[in-house]
Order: sequence, then C-alpha cells, then structure tokens
Amino acid sequence: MKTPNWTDPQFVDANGTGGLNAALGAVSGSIALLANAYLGKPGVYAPENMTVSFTGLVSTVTLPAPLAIIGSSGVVAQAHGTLNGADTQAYTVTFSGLVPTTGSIVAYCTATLSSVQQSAMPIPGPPPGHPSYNPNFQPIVGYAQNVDTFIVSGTTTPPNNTTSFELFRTTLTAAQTGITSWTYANQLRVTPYRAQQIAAVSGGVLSVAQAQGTLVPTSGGITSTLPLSVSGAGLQFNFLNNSTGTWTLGVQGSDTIAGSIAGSGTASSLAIPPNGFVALFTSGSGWALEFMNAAYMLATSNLWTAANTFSGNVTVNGTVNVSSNINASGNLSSTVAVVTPVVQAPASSTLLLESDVNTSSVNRADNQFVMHYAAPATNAQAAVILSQFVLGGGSNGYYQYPGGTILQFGSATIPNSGARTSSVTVTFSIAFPAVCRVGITCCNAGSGANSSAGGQPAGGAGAFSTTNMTLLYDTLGYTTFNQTLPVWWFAMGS
Amino acid sequence: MTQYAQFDPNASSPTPVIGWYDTDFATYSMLPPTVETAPAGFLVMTQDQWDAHMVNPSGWAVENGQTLVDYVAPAPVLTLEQQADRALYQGLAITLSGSITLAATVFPVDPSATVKIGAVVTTIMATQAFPGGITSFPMKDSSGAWHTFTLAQYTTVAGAISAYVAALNLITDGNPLNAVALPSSSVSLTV
Repeated sequence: MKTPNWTDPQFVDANGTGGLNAALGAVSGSIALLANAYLGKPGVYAPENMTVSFTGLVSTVTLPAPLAIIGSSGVVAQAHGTLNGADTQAYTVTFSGLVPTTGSIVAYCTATLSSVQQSAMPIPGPPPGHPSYNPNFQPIVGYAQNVDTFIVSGTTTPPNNTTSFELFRTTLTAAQTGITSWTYANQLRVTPYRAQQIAAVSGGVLSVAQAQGTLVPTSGGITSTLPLSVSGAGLQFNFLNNSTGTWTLGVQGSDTIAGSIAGSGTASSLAIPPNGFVALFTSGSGWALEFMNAAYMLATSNLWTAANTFSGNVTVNGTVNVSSNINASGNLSSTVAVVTPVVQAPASSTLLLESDVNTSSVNRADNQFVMHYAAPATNAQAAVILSQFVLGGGSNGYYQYPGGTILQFGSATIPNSGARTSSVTVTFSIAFPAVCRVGITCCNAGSGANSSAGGQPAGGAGAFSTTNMTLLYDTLGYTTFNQTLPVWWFAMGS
Repeated sequence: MTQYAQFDPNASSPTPVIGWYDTDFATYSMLPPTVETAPAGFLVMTQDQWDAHMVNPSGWAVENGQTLVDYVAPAPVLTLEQQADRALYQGLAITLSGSITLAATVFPVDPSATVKIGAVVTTIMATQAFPGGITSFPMKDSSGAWHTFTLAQYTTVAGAISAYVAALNLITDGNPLNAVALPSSSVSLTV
C-alpha cells in the first residue's frame, strides 16, 4: 500500500495560493484563463488592455492582465518582465536604432515568449561536517519558480506568430526623432472561444473586450452599438440572440455593416431575430457580416442577382412577384397568387412562366389580357391543364394552344361607306408566324344596325395574310351603310 | 428585344403599323429571338407599348421610324362601281319648269323607290291613265314630301329617274360601256 508522504497543505492548497494550484497557474499564466477555456489558436489575448506612450523614440508599454500571449506550443504567458527575481508589466522599448538612414521602414513592437525566474531564495553551501563542506563557499541566490513571460522589443523583423506576436507597428522615416502615431490593426488576436458567454445589456457601446466570447442579451428586444471599427481592427464579435425579442445592432460614425442586407448593399444596423446568430468582423474600416445562421437568414429578405438553382422541394408562401424569367424543372404544385391558374408540368419538362406577370395595374389597360401557358407550345411532352387556358377580359386578344395553333379575336368598325357594301382591314394583335387559315366575322348585335333604316348586313372575312385580313359587309341591296357598324372577328392560324 | 411593330419604311410618316410580333410568344423567321438589331421596317416596343397596342391593334402608326402614335386610317377610296352603288341610294335632284315649277328636289332612286314608280308607269303604259283612273298622282321625294304630278309630268320625272338608274346599274353590273364617270346626279326638265 502506498500512502502519500505529505499532508495538506504541504502541497495542495484549497485556497489556490500555493501547492498544485499555484504550480498550474505558474505554467499556464493564469488559472482564470484556463478555467474559462477562453483561449484558441496562437495570438494576443485581450490586447485592448495594453497602453502605449512614447517619449521621443522610446516607448513605455504596459501589458496588464488579462492580456496574455499564447504560443504555438500551447504556452500561455502573461507579462512578468525580463529580469529574474522581478515582476513587472511595464516594458521600455526603444526604436532609436531602427530609424533608417534613407527612406522609411516599418518597425514592429513585438512580444516574444520567454521565461524568468522568480521567488528568490539563498542557497547556502553544505554545512560544516558535510563531506562537501567548503569553508570558502559563498552563498548564492536561487529561484523557486520559472515563470513564462515575454520580451517586448522593437524590431524591423515581422513576428513569426508562433513565438513572437505583434503588439503594434509604426513607420519610421530617416532622421525621425519621435514617434507620434502607431497602429494596432495588425495584431493577431487569439481566436475567440465562443463558449464564453458575455451578457449584453441594452444600450451603450460594446467594448472590444466583449469580442472575446459570445454575446448574449440579458433580455429581449435590446439594442447594442458596435465600437468604432477603427479601434477594433481584427475583432470578431459573436452574437447569439437566445431571447424572444429582436436584438438590434448599430454602428457609430460612418461605419457600416457590409453584407447585412439583401444584395450587395451595406447597412448601418442589423436586426438579429430570436435564435439568430451572427458574427461580425472588422479589419479596421467598417464592419462585415462574417457568419450567420439559418434563423438570421430566414428573417432577412434575399435578393439574388446571380442565377440560383434550388434542389429538392421548394415551398413558397405568400405573394410571389415574378419580374423576369423563371425556369423550373420538376413539379410545381402550389398555386402561385399572381400566376393563375395552377401551373404543373411533368417531371423533366421545362415550364415557362410568362415574363409579363406583373402585379402592377399601371401596365395593363382594362381591355387587355395576358395569357399564361404551361410550356412552350412545341414541347410535345408538356402537361396541359385546361384550366390554364383562360382569356382575360378585353376586346382584342390572342391565345395559343400547345402545338402552335393560335386563335385571335378582336373588334372592328365597318365604316360609313354610303354604299351597300363596306369593308375594313384589321391588323391582328400578333402576327401569325406561318399562316392565317380561317377568318370569321359577324355583327355586334348589341351595338345597332348598319344604317338608320335598321337591319344587319351579311359579312365575311378574306384577303388573309399573317398580319391582317379584310372584313367585308354587304347589305344585299336593301339599304346602304350610312352609319358605322361595330363587328367582331375571329381568326385561326399558326 | 422581343416585341416589334412592323411598318413600311418607304412610306411617308406616319406609317400605319401593319404587323405586331412577339418573339417570346412565337418564332418568326425574320425575327430570330437572339436578334440584336431590329431589321428595317421593325420598331422595338416596350412592354407598356405592347400592352397598349392590344386596345386597338389597327389604330397605330410609326412616326419618323421611331415612335408609336395613335392613327386613324383614312376613309377608303371608292371604286367607280362602289360610287355608282352609293349613288343609287343618294337620289337624283330634279328641277322642273313649264307646266310646273319645282326647285331642285332630290327624289329617291334606290330599288325600293323605283319599284313603286315602275308600278305606276306600268299602269300608265297600259291604260294611258294613272291607277284608278285619277288625273294626277303623288310622288314622294327623299325628304318624305309629296309632289302631285299630271300624267305628262309624272312620266317625264319617272323617265329621268329610270334613265339615271339604268346608267348607274350598267356601271354596277360591270360597266360594259366603260363609263369613266357617274351620270349627273341632277337634271332640269321642262314639261
């Protein structure tokens, strides 16, 4: 049986101030970071906590917790200075040796993983009587801990993003004696670990620190404002709306959110529906919608400007406005409000909806009609639904059967010729592609007689062409055409 | 480009539209669906224009080869035969002098009227008297007014009407005498 030869709290400290907890904290950099599992791939964690100031070409960089560096080997380091036995978060970085003699260069302030020794203690020599006792031995100082830290330096060598990471950068020009501007835009931030939920209250501007996790609203219907993109370069905000109300996000200044609305436009706000998730990213110049889930997409109107193919079943509810060509393969089985009647075609056939389907009444006079057909008339495999062959109201129109036969009808007026015969040439509403085979005409019995003496004449159609025909009426001598005569006509061709 | 109005590009403007074409609806050999430029004599239409043309397909013209405008076709030019046919229903203006004075008055010469006059004349020719032996007989003019004529006056008027109708009938029946104009629609008689 084995039993430990130590007793609590010789090595285990329940308060976390020593023993194994302290040891774990020492190697990880921060117990809190590990406990919340905030860390992702290598980078700088919480760099917004950094402060930078310059005196001439010398910078004072302060890197307080929770700012940390996670390296590619998994080492997590926070700032503890570079001297053994000392612990500081303030670094002095000089750029004076980097100023070029001509032209300009980019100088980086980088943090490079390192370690220092801490918890100093004296190490005496062997006591008198010990075989190794040396009366001339001088006590030395030892350290109880190795602490991960990082070196902060100015360099013209870009960081490798595995053991060294950029804190900020600036441009140095020949003969420059001071630094007044620098940018954090190129920091490689630790990828947010979305399991960290950060509560967002309504109103106010989100902080850059809140980009490290997933924001969730404290209640439904709240509004939040994104930080200025210029101050959040590299940030990714994650929003999960687990409330029952819409969460509205806004921007500041001239910032916009690219890709947050239909088409390629940008918007100054974004509405996240219940159960919606979005991720917003900024490179320092405006925000962009990076990710979204289906709940967000469902609540967003979509306008596809490129050709789209939908596979599987497609169900459309509500009003459908068709403004251009729709080609559908397979079965259409729903009644579309603006396309009457039901349109259905057998599998593998092509179904064409007429492009002139428009809900706007301004394009259509009362006496016009639009015809819809299920498929090109030449498609021998097209399904035919008789209820589709509906003519709209109007005094002129045309109508095509599958196979190409075209029927046309219209009204005309026989002129007051003063003679016993009178004729008029009517132009068809649409030209027959090949031939007009039959024409028929008759009086409009509801609109009076051909003369003041009464009576309706005999009429006939002739002189057919693909574009017109002549209607001839004859009183057969009983009177003359001394007033106009309204008539109907009908023609069939292909 | 899918819808076109056809016109005669060589005719004076405005030129009546003589055909309407929709290449989405049907295939036309002279208007392939992929045509980039409308052929001569075809004007590309907007959808609104296409919708509007349905109201009266015969009532449009192309102005200056570019614009669709409303159009009313001129009255057709009648042939001489049609003019003769029409004249039969417009009457003959007769002026009388001598034993009776009558200012120019239009008398009907259509088949219905001439049948009635002919019945009276037939009796006169057979009996040398009006039907019923009366000494004068009325004749209705085109306005419906009656004029009472003696035997000599009636036969003179009836003869003028008969000659006029006969000349018109020759024209309407094929114009075997190759007349180039209608007979005069007015006549002055002394009786």
